[in-house]
Amino acid sequence: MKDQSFESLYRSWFNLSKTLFPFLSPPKGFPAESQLLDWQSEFEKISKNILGLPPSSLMEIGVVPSVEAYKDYLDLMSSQVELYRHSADIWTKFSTVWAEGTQAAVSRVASETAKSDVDPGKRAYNAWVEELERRFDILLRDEEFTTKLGSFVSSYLEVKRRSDGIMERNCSRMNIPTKSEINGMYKKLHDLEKKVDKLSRTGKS
Amino acid sequence: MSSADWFKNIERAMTDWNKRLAEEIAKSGSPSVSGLNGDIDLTPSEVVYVKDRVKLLHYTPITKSSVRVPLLVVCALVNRYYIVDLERNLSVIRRYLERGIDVYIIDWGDPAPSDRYETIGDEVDYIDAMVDVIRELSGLKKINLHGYCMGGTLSVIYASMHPGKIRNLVVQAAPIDFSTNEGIFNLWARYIDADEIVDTFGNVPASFMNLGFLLVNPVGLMIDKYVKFYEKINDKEHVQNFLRMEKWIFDTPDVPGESYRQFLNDLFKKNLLVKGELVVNDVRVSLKELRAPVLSLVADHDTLIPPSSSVLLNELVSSRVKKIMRHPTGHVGLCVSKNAHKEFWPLVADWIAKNSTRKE
Repeated sequence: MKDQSFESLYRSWFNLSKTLFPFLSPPKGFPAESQLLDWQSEFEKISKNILGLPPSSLMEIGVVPSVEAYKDYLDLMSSQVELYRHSADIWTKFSTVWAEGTQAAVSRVASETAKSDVDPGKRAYNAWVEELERRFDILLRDEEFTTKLGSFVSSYLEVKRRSDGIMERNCSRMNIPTKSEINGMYKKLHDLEKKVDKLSRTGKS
Repeated sequence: MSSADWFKNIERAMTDWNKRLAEEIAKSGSPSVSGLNGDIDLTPSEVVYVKDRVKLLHYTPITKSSVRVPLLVVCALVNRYYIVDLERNLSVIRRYLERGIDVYIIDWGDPAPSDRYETIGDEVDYIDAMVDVIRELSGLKKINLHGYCMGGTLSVIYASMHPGKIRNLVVQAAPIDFSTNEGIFNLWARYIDADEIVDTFGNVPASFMNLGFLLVNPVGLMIDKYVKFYEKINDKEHVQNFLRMEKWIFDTPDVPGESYRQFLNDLFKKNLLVKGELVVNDVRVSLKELRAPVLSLVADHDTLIPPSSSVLLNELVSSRVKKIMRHPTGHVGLCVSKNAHKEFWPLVADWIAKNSTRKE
């Protein structure tokens, strides 16, 4: 149902604009007068159609998607914060192992008797690699770390999913096929290919 | 030695390596740097059959054929097939050809986004189609099959489902028993949500897989490997092979989503193949159905697929002829170590030749 008061409000605003901004009413004899008036009348018709809609419809067209989009972006940002938190967890563990391994290598080389046949730099490097590899191997097999690694992967995927969701919504609004629609077609294609393959193999045998 | 000295030594060593690298690059035209691009020295082959993106390659014989039964090699979906043919002296394919074996290989190609619904059943169907082509070309009812890594698992599943088409089965460093705690992937798989990964990505991206491979040994694969490379930068053969390996490592295709999901959920997490509960193409896979002679090839220092995950196969199949051959190297080392090509692969080729003439 049309909201007449809204339309009349718009009409009075449009008339006031014409008075305040004289260029909206061109002087008689203006070279492009008729074209301008045609355009103006078309514009008025379109505006009237849009603005003649009840305010609730306007909310639906303009405001609601913005709210949803804003919520999507907030969720995306929130998932990015989670990803950052989980990557910081992993990085802290890695840094700790790195520091401990390096420290252990320093102590080990310091306590070893120098061998004349091995370059001291190479010896130190080998000790460092050995200590780090041993510690990383323990870390990468540790249940607590593996759980953190799983959470890190999940949070990364969550960011991707939310970002894909925003794209999905935008594509849908622009009448562009979305990823989930294309995936549906892929699934049908796959099933059809499988059926055809089965039929042709049955036919051969 | 004080810690200050230790750091000085590290600094000196690093400066030395950098200096050597800089000298070599500056020489430009010297043997160790110029002309090396890591091009793979592929054994000549021709494509004899194509199904969707998957190709069947037939290698040109280099000697008179002495083994009547042809061999199909199946590699993992997660890597390119040319790891078994990296360079003529380190080529498993060449060792087979030198023994007079007629060799075919599957090139899985690059899955398109539409291949995300491809399951293990579809991979098995691809193998079946290739096996049928070779059977037709050779006029034989049964052929030999060699599966490497994940390709080994697929080959075992295939041979169990189509026992009438396989004469001998060679399984190289293949994960069969996923209950072991030795393999780092087995541990990680318990905490990784395959459904989340596949539902989000579709096909699992190569970069995602590569990150996982590098994390298995971050120091060895991201630091020490390159330091060792610099140390031998004057060795032309070493540099060329290093570049080839690097090319292979990072030339990883995406993995079809549903295959990845099934591999992680049904095999890594539930160990259904060993339990006899794996369902592929609506058929329950029973390893007991596998009666062909089986040769399991195990790398003793394999950290990706621990030997304990592979050797159980020989206990679960019904084959009368079965053997395990071990070599003291790693997962990829079995394909590319000089020692393996000198001592190991000729014996594998002999086993295939011998069992191809054995009366069934």
